[in-house]
Amino acid sequence: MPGPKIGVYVCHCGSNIAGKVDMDALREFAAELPDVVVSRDYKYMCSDPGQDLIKADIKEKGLERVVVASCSPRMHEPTFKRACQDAGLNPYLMEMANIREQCSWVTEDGEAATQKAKALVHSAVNKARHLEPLEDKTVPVDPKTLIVGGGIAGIEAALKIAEAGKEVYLVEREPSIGGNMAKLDKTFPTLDCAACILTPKMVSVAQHPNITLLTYSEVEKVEGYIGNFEVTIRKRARSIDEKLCNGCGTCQEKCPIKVPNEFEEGLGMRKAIYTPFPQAVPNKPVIDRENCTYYKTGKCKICERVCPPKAIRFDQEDEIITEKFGAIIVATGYQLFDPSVGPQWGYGRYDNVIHGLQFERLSNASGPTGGKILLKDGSEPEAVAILHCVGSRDTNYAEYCSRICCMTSVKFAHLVREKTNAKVYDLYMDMRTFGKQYEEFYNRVVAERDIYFIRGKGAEVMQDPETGKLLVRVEDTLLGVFREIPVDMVILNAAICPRPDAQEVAQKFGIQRSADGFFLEYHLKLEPMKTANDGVFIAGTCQSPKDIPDTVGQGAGAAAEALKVVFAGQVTVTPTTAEVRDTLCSGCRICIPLCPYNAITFDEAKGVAQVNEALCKGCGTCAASCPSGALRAKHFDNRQLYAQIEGVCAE
Amino acid sequence: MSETKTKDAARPKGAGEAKPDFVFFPGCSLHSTAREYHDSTVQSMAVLGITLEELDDWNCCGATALSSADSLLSYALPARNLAMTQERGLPMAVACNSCFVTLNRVNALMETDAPYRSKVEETLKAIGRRLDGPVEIRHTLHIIYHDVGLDRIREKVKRRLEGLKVAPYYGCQIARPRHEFSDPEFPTEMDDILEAIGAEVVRYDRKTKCCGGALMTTKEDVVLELNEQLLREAQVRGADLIAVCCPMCQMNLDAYQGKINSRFGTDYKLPVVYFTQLLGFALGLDEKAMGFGRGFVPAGKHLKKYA
Amino acid sequence: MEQAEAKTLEVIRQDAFDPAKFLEELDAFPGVDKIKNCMQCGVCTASCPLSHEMKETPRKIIEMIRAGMRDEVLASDTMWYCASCYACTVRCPQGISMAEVMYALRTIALRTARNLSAAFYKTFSDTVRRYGRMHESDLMIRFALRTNPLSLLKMGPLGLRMLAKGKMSLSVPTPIRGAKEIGKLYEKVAELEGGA
Repeated sequence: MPGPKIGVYVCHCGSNIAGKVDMDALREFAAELPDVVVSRDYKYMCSDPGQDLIKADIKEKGLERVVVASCSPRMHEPTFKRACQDAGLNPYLMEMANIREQCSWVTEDGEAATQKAKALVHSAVNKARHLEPLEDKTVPVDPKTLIVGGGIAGIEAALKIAEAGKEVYLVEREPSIGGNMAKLDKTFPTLDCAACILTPKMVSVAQHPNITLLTYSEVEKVEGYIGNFEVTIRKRARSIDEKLCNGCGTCQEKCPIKVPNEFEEGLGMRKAIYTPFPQAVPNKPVIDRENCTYYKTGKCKICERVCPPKAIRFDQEDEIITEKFGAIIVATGYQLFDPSVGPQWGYGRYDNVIHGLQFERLSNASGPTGGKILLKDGSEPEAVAILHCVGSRDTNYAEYCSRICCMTSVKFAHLVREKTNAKVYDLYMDMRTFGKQYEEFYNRVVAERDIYFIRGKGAEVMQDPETGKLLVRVEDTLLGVFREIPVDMVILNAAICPRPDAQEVAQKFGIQRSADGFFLEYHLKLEPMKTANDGVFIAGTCQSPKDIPDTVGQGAGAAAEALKVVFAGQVTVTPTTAEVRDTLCSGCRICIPLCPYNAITFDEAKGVAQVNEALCKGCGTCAASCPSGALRAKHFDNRQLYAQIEGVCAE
Repeated sequence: MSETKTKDAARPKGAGEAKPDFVFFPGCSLHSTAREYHDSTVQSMAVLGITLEELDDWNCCGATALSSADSLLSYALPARNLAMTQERGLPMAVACNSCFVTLNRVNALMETDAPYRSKVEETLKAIGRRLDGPVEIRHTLHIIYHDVGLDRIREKVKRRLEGLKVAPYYGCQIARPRHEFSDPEFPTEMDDILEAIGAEVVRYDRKTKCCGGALMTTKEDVVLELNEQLLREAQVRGADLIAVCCPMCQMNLDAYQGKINSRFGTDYKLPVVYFTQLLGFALGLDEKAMGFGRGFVPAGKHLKKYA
Repeated sequence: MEQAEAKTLEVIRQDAFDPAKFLEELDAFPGVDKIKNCMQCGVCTASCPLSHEMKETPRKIIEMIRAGMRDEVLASDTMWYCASCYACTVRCPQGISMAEVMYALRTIALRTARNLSAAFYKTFSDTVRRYGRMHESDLMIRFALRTNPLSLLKMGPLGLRMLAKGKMSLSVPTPIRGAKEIGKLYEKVAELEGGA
């Protein structure tokens, strides 16, 4: 019985493939393969004239299968599928042989490359012979977007989507939104205060009718797929009735328990019932049950007694919210590098060695010193050293550049001079002031009196045992001298790092991490917000270190990605899923726990496994593990794969 | 490129006593070592219709030597000359690069540093003079290029210096730090003038590299090296002679050429002449009057065929 | 050649220097500014026809100034090599006039310096004060007398040829009419600088 009529189309890709592989030999080789009725080569098969060749042959020669030997299917599989469909051929009857990435680009010798290309084409032709037509499915999309993380990236994304008229859930782990930006004092390069520009956005989030704000909450579970994510959120008990509480603050005044305030980076205290900072949104306190006397001993309840609207609820329980979402934006932010990891810098050993966020709190008018830059003993420093690249650009810690430290260092230098009479020594390896108006800002600060920039990496901070002064040691690489600088305060501009729970979060949302630990974008340059998981987008410093302008830009970009999904109203689901052949299934259930997407259930009535096609990603794990061969991965079934292997091994 | 508006058209003269176009600041060198530069400049410009009137009782500008010795004095000395020019009510013409840069430095101060400026004004007050803002200072090379214009020069040429290969050497202080010339490192004005009188301008990449100037006195060894490099490029490019516009450059390249030859074992015989000498000669002025004989390396043999 | 001394890395205790004071001293010179904006690119050094002769390059001098190393800067030979060609100045990406910085450093150093260059600049100034103009023969003779009278013999041949070409004159220079003004100018400058 004759097989289906197959057409083979060999692409030169300019000189990308043709520069290495012998196109004539490959075309002629393909023409000789069984069932191949036409074999052609062309400079750019993806171009319109290239596609027209395929379309014409389908119509005129009645092709039943198409094999395109060109680049990776990642780029142009949709192109050629569409071409087949336009000509009336089921798009799943098209097969690609990757003779660029897997052949011409990675093979030195032209003859060897041609040989390999023949094997790949043979293999694709073999598989094509056994392909079956499949139909795409479309499923409706839930119009809501979930945003995880209430920093400036999440806030920006939430506002953009809400303003576009779509519904958003914004989930934040802390009692207030605002993220790290809320901790900052002034922001470079314009020196407007962070609170002044951030607070209005935070308030808009709280007030927007399209935004459901869930603070003190965490995402517990994510199931489903693009357009139809099912998400479980734990809304932790605040121990107050948010509807009754008017944010008067009496409870916080009267609470007798004081603990270090996380928001103040250890420099200030808070109560057991607290809002982290005055401009918090929502401006409603939470009870920190770990430190509250009532939860420890069953006594106290002072807050309950003093609360005017009687809003305290000691017996409140966590709330579990389950909601469907069409798209998800992960904007979980960063964690500052812990400088005590490198004891040479003196952090944790000397009182007046602080990190960048601590300096922000010192300099912030609502911070623990009311905006005064003071030493631990309350006096003003006479000299301050600022160290760049603490943990960054250092293969002992983080290899990458944290991108914001040069500018924050310059800003710190300016703020120290603005608020004290201290000399400032800024120790840098390179000055990377790349953004709009950044170099201009640097040029302005560098000329300020008693600010000295020294090129060299701050190697260590010691203490002069006699004077008690901190001694910063650095090679001035421009002078070739070893400088020892006595100062009273050292600010370590620590690296921007992935959050410690990044792996857990990545797994939860089905996204990947790059070597540096940050979340991995689909394409570094062209798809910076997309991830490998369709419908899940990333924004802000969880993707890579970023300054505020870039973070805001990416927040808005992620919003556009999410809106693209929810406005489309429906998504196409690939039909290349697994299927169970009931007659063969023995009901052993081995496949059920192996499925990474929880797509397989057991049909008790029939006594066989069942695949939920909407959840199945077609990974093939079940098919490979099924002892009776009942599970079959469509488009990648055994017959097709064996034929493919035979093709590769034929030459 | 050429300036078509001629001097006469721009500033028509009355029939009677003509008012000069510029106050001329010759500077010390043009009265001693560089007298041929003085004479050829004044006479050529007269032929081209520009009248120069020497600034009465001018004093030394101080040059870079004074800038290195006493800051206030280095402004006060040239400021006296500018004050007297202002009294005369004319723009100033300068031929010496060193004077040009020193006088312009006062102008720059007049426009920028207010506290220091008043200090300089105080010194002038002590001698009964005042300087009211900057004075228009022009290099004679630029006046010839811009105010006279290439067309006018071509018209007036009597002897076209066809086939004479000239390396145009501007020196450093004519176009730097920032003056009226086309580029601080690669000016072209002298090239164009030399071409207008028929000469062949050879490519000369070192046209504004420094000759070391007055450092010949204190750092002779290294300055001889600089001048050797300047001579070498001119020779390699096939120049018959080097045209200059600064007395210091002329002195270093010409008077020290013998010393360079004995120091480096070279055999340079490159005449170093002021561009105005060539210009005057081309305009038909007497070869002797142009002072070609005053150079250490004789230029005569290259000019014979045009006389 | 002398045996080079083993090079050791100098350790500088920053509190031994006062950069702000030195910067202020230089700031008093017009045209000397933006030193702090120097980005240490080295285009000055690379544009200088004589930087290869210097112990410290122009770029390094700027960095030493910013470190407050006043004595070391004034003891360097860098500024005495500057020929005022302004190549560095026109190329400086931050608009620093290195030529002006060099003038300023020479002027400060000249107050105490005892070298050939210092003698030359002082002699030059004296000649101008005396006559109102510069006279090569007078300048060179006085300079030689001040430094090394024997060098007059060495200069002899060139001097004689200069005389022959009429480029130099042995007649006693005549002061300009306004020589008195020049004298007064010098006095006033001395008064203003002393009083400042």
